[in-house]
Amino acid sequence: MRAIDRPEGEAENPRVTSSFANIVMRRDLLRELTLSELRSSASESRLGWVWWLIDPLVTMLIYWFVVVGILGRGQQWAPYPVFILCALLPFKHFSGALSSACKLLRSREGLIKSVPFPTMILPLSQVLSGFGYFLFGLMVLLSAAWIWGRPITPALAQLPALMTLQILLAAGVALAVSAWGALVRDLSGFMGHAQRILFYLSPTLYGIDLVQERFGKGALAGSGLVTYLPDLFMLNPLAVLFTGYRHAIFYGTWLEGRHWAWLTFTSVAIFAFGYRTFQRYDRRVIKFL
Amino acid sequence: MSDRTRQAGAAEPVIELRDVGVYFHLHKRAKVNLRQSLLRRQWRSRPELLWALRHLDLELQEGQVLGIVGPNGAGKSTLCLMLSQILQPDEGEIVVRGKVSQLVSLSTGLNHDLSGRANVRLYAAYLGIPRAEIEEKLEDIIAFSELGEFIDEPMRHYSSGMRARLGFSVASTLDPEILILDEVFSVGDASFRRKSRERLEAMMARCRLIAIVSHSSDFLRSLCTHVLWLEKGRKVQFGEVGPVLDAYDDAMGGPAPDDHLDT
Repeated sequence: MRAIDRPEGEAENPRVTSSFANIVMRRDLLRELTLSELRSSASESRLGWVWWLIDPLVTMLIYWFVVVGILGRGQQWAPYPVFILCALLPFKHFSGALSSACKLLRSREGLIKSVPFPTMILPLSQVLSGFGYFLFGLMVLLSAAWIWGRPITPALAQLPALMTLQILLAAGVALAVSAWGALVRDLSGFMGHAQRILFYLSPTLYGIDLVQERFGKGALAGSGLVTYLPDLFMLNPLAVLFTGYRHAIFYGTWLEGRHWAWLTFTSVAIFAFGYRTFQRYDRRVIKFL
Repeated sequence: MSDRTRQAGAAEPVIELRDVGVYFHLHKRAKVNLRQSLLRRQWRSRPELLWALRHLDLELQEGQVLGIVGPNGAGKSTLCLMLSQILQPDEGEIVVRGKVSQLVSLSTGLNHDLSGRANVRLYAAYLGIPRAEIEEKLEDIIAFSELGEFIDEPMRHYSSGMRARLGFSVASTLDPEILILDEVFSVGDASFRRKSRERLEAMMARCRLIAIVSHSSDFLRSLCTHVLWLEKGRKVQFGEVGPVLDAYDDAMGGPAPDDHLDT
């Protein structure tokens, strides 16, 4: 007998499928999960939430020590701690969402198999609680910027938009990766490499101006491709995001319009992709856990 | 829910399954890694399907208590997952008319770093109990669980019995119309078991339909009106509790000992 396959993503019971409507309906769960994630990580360490302030502070100082102190670089980006933290904080949010997504559904197997709820809430709550840590880091960053005498400018008004796009971007990737992670077991190993590549290929330790300087127009009388390298670099939404934070906090200037447009487009597109990917596998994932 | 099934008339079944089938990919249940799946893509053969359930037709009416029996791997748990609408069938159609809950012993706890109290709130959120309602019932739940001062300790200090007691205390505040019980539900020590059994019975009395998975014929005989006998994903028999269980016990070589420990 031939199997009558259900159309993908279509489900009998709308209550448990992952859709915007159901997430909104179960917003209590999303909020409770996000908060309890934050609460438990605060209770995990002896220092509690103070750790969320110390953690970015320590990373900032380590990179400062290595890059400026040992390698003797980064003079054009002084004060370097402020400069590096502008990229490190969003990167941490992004990579944290990525690595927790890999094994997320697998680790909640018992729950998924016993309680009906839209599973999309799990990766979303991870992204939101990660954003909670980010906000604490942002307090450290803004204090550091103030201590090092960076001017307080209207350019800071760019922050809410940057943060919104950052959440969309992280959520999109986390949704896709959490669905794939349920189907493929060794994804987290590959994810580690992907994160490292992203870290070094995005202007985290350096600024996009260095790429411009070394490969931009006039720097090399080389082929056309090399000349456009800085533009290729900025195709990476993380590169635009980090540069955006630097414009807002470090330089006190405005991110170019075309970069805003690209960042908005890619964030929304990646979120839509992650959302669709998760929906495609949604309830069928249960069979692979 | 389709209109076709809704036109059935006044005695509309509470649960209706039509030619329901669920399959698992055999090679996907085994360890799959990314490198292999990328390499295999070109010449990937038809995935080997294991039908956990197939061609299952079932109609359950209001007031019935269904027992589900069968050897291991018969598809009992898969059926429960479908009845509680956690899993959707790959073929066929299932219609469930009413609020359904599966009562499971969530003894693993949810977040071991948080207190029992915080876990109650979290668990309630998972179950979809509104925030206001759970705040109202919180003290009752804690009292019922008999955890005392432990309720504000991190859950990782709990014994498995304590976790199960807390889980049951929360889950049993639900008021479902259709109740699914996968495996015999017994938690805690003798006195808690008696108390939880009373509460479970009160809960069952309010239900329009109950489905219970158990290996214990005696237990099912004492509760059920109907029994579904599954084997290798197929329906062997469905009917009134007596005849089906007699046939099942004969086929299995006598009734299983009623020790509530088998899984």
